[in-house]
Amino acid sequence: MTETEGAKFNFLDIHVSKLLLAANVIAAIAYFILMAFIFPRGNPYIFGLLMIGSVFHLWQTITYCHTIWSIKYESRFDERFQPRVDVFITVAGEPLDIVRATVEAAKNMHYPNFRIFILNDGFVTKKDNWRDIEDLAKELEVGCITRTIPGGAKAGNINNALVNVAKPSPFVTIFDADHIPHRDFLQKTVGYFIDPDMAFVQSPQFYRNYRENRVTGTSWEQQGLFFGVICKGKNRTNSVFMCGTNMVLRRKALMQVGGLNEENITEDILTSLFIHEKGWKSTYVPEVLAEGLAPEDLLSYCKQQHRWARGGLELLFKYNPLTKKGLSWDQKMQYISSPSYFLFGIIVFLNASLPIIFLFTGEAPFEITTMQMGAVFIPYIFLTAYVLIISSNFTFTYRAAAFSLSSFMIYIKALFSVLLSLITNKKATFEVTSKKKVSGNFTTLALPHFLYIVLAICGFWVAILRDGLTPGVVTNVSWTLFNIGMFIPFIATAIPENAIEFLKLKLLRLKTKQ
Amino acid sequence: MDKPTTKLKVFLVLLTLIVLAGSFSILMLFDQSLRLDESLSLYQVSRSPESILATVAGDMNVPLYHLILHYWQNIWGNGIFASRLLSLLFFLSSIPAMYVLGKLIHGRKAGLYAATIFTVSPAILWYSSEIKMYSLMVLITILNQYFFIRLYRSHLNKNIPTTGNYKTQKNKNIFSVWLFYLITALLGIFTHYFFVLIVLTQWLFALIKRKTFNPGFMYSIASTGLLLVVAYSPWMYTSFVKEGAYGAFFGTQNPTSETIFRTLTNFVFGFQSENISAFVIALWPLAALFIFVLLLNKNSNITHDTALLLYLLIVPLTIMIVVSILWIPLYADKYLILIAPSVYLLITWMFSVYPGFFAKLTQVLLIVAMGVASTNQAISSETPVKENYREASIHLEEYAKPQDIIAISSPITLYPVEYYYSGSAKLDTIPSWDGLDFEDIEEFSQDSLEQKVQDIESAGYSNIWILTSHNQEYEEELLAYFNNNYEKTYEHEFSPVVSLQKYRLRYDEPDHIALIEYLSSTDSEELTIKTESSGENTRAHTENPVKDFLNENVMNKIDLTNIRLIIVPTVNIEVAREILQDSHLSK
Repeated sequence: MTETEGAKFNFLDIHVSKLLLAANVIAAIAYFILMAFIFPRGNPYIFGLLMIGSVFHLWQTITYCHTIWSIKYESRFDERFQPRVDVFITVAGEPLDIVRATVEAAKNMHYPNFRIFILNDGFVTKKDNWRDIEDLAKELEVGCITRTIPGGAKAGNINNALVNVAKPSPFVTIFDADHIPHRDFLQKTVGYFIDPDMAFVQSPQFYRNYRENRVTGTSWEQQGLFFGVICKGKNRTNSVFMCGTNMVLRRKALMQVGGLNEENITEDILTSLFIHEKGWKSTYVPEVLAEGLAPEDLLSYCKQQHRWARGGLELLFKYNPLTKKGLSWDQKMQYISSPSYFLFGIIVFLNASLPIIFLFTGEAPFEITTMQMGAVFIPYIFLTAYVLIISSNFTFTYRAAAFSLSSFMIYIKALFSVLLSLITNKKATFEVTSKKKVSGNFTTLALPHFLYIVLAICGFWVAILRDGLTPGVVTNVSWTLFNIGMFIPFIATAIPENAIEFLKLKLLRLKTKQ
Repeated sequence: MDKPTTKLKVFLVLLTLIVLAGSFSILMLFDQSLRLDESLSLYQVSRSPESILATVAGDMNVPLYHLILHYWQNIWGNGIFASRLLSLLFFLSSIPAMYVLGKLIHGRKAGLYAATIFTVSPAILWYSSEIKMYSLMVLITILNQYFFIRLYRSHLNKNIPTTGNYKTQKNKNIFSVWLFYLITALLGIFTHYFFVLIVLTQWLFALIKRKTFNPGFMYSIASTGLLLVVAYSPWMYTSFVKEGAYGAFFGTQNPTSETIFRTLTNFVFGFQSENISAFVIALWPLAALFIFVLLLNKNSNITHDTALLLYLLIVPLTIMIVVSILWIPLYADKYLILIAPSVYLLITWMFSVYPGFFAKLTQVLLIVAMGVASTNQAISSETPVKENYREASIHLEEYAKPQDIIAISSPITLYPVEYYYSGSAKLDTIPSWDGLDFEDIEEFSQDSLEQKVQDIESAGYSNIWILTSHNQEYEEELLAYFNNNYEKTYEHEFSPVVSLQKYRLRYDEPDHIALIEYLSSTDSEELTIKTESSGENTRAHTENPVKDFLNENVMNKIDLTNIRLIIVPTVNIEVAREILQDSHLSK
């Protein structure tokens, strides 16, 4: 098996022991109880901040373990069920060669009965190449629907096609412009619609450029966890949601909820919520059937993360899943747990602030020794990390975790945008993730991290002058170093390559002189 | 297969490590004072082999090391240097063994690194100069792990990812590998009871991973288990049924978060002063970062070998913690030394996962840090495991007078003091003990302490020197009693666990002493008199103790014409003169 073949397979080859999951939940509860009720409290405000984080971590651990408790569920499938399918390839200014590759691959799919349409949004999004896309469609002999009336971003584009395509097929497949389908894509997905209640089938979003650089690699590793064990787990509770591409939908189900939702920038998850609310089913095919492109630069990555975070948090605050009567409790929990991940930003910020607060003020959340804290924290965190590693089949890496932590400002920004939009009722704008590397200086993206380093250094001296090198000071300095250690991959990516090359050159000269 | 030049390089590196480690131990550690554990070993092995077996059986120990030391002393003498040399030899043999095990698991370079950090490890170096079984236990543990890994590798029924020279070993000499595994396991369980934890962990590993092995492996494990039980049963019967050795292991404790942290940091940074230890332990979030990075750094599965190392770290530690909390205290750093090789191999694995430059930098930094820690441990007077009975005894010899009494607490530390002390003051213990059977040590209580002190005071002693070490949870109460009731005239800490205090028992202490010499043909008779003259019960119940003592013990029992010199404490020079005149003795 080659490395790429392994990458397409490993994230799905999951074997998680229920004993391990149970141990993780018990450890998380025990840790929380100790923190909340047993340990003698220090400063009540700092304790309160820590408890906010603790409640979040407990919630994340419980819902994660609940989601992946059983991943063996399989929906009914009949390969002989082969109705006509309309294949929609959404385009909004992506480079021609990328679109060509996707259309050609779609044309080569082994399926008896399907049509291909390029949904060309280049005109309404004022992209230069919208005419070239039309020409490409002609050249490759596929349909092309070019929107002239803007609105609804990608969802609007698809909804436009749903109503404008002649002789609509009962099933629709959606690919982003860069997602090249495998030949057997339709063969391995459409058969699930033998179940008349099946509304949509989702397959993984594999990034074929994952080896390109740190950003693409990290993006894939983060995706791998979601499209691996999490989606397999969601299958059990009938709460797999659409992920925008590499999916097949039953037109009837989609039309029943008024098409893809245009109010939210992550239209896929919100539409899934409405479909599930109507009692429809969904399923996840744990096999890579199409390959796309990950963002290749930090700016594109951050924009993508912001879009996902904003969409997810909007669902949470605007469309409270708990109030949806058509959903089961399992589904409600799933629809809360996935978007609530994006609250992670504020939690990281709070947790990272605690050692800084201690260094500057000497105030701590507890009056316990550093060793007591370590004795309960270390087993808990490593058990949690181990569950994460095992449940991702060793595909979730340090840099993926580091990028998640380092994205805290992006998530906080998204949270405030959502909260502001609740007041102003202003809609967010959809921005397509760039399919080509954007070059430039992204150091500003790491400004919060640099600020954290400066604060840590200042705090260190303040604490030393106040307390001396006490165990409390050493531990809190270590915590700041822990956080900085987790920020390093992000910072290293943000620093311009030529700056790194410059430093390398300097080092080389220094060595040569020696 | 390694090239001859590579083999030569490896040989030279290992030889260098052995020479450095041997020199360091002899120069820096062999000159340390005898410690309690060591004095017990010397006491136990000074007997006949049959007697050693009986003593060891009743002392919650297994006899292999004691028997080896006994025969070793028959050849090289029973001095401290010669006895420590045996432990050093076991340690030096462990260095190439560690390399071989590291090479088997992670390859040649990693094997050399594992051997290097093992060599500079302060904890391992410390035990390399201790007259105890720990360096032997470490050697046997390494060998046993080596044969266990080779054994299961020979029985893998799937393409399990492993590293090292796995393929060349498959299906070769399975029986001899099993035989060596059995032998090392047998030697291990007869070296220390806690070696059982290693064997149990290996079996747990085999059980959990059973699907990846062919049935032959499980048969090998089962037959090993059966043979071990058969071989161990007679000893267990003797030890637990016949000798009734149910007591807790000496020096064990209930683990706390602090002790567990200390154990883990001790493996890397050794036994350091309170300040240094607190500093190192406070760095735990950084250690967490290193391990976190390690865990998430590579898109590769954990191999069987690495999983085994993790088991060997976690399972014995967990068992000791759980048993100590729920049943009897078993937790002690020294017993956990058997998981140290796994720790070093895991550290080696950790570096093999890190990216190149970072790995090299941290590898070098770790070796330097461990080397500095080893040196500091050897030279610092604040090293907590140092027990400086030698200096304390020299001080007592110089300053404790015949009319003083020396009280040793805890009583068991009488052994190392007796080894060094040859002064004229009487040695006693608090609580009382005859110095023979641990079972006979009197239980400490406030009442027994008061009674004991009253007896001492009545006997007419001027001062009491209290040498405290190995606190048995009553040291504080004992010293508080003396602090509250007597004047403390001297206090000194010879090492972190060995302290000496002097209290004045009486203020009418004699200005002079009467000298009566016993004309003896042998030294022993003279010594007998001296010992008796320091007074015991005879003086405790009389108003005129000296006169009565002489009447009862000297004049009535000994031919006065033979008396030349007896050292007797008196309350008054006039009384002494009277005695001398009455006795018709010349001054």
